[in-house]
Amino acid sequence: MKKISVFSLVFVALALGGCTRTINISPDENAFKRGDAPMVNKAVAYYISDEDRAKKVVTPGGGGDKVTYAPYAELESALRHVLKTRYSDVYLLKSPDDKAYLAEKKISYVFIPRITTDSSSSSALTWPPTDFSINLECQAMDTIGKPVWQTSIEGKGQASFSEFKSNFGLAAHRAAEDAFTQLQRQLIEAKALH
Amino acid sequence: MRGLYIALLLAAVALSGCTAMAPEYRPSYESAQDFRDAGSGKVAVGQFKADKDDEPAVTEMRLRGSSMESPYGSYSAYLKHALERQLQESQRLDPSSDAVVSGVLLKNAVDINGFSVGTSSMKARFMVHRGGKPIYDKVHAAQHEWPSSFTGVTAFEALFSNYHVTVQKLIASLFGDKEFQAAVK
Repeated sequence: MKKISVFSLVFVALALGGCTRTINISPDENAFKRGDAPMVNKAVAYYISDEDRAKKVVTPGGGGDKVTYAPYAELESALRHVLKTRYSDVYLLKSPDDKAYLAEKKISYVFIPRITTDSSSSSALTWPPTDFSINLECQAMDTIGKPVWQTSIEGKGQASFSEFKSNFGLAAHRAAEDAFTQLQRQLIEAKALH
Repeated sequence: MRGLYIALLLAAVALSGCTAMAPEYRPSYESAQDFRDAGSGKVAVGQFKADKDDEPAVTEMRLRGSSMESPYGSYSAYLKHALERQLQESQRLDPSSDAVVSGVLLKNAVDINGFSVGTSSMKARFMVHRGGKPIYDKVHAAQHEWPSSFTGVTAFEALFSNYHVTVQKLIASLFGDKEFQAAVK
């Protein structure tokens, strides 16, 4: 029995040690409320390249493990939702240079995000990250491709072991909520985008 | 010690025939934009059921002795919810429209028994009725595969990150069908 137990523990350690674990970093869309600010009656678009949308990154977790996720694909819903709380119509743009599409849909601004992330854990024994950061750079172009606004936002999220339950991406969700709530606030304040 | 408990718990889930809940559907915004650009006719979503009302018969789960349940009660309900979400993101969902899409789930298969690749496939019959008259009836199918792992926990995580992509592909196949686009124009 003792041999079986030791074997089981060694197996578990081998199976789970130093792994790259998959998490999802999409925040709850309901976190972004429209608020009291009046809607801007304009159509806008956002552009994420196919390469960025497919990109998966690996950042540190705890206990020597790493976590992997798709930052652009998983944060696209937050970007769309935040833009929808501010503008009357939001389009996904397949090409940033599609002037005919921009004209046909009467799109005023094109938002292009650049996202970098990092994570860490204060625990040597558990793999989910307890700290997560999202650097969101976002540039808005007019219809001729001229930059009219840009921002650089740092979103941070923390979660402790007792909060994880089955949500191992909790620190990431909180960082995403922080980053996109800041973006939402900045869009309201940006006079160039009214 | 706490890490050991987690490791044992996850290993137990992966190795001892537990039931896991699939994550909620996540829409494909590209597919939604394509369908939005294809027309402006609104669509209602009607009944979705499994072929012969027998969901277990159309479901093939090879999950290392475990099982995965739909967060919407059944996989035909999963497909219905996914279609509603895609139509909503396309701004073409209207529950009062006289064009009603309904469906029959014919196959829902998932296999993560392999040590390096996970696969999923789905097949469904979609019908459109306008004013009660049938105007579209076609079967669509989609499949998806992804890198998997020898480790059960990692294989399940990969499955949870990929199952919805199969459903996205099935709906993209429906949305990309010119006959369907004409039926709901």
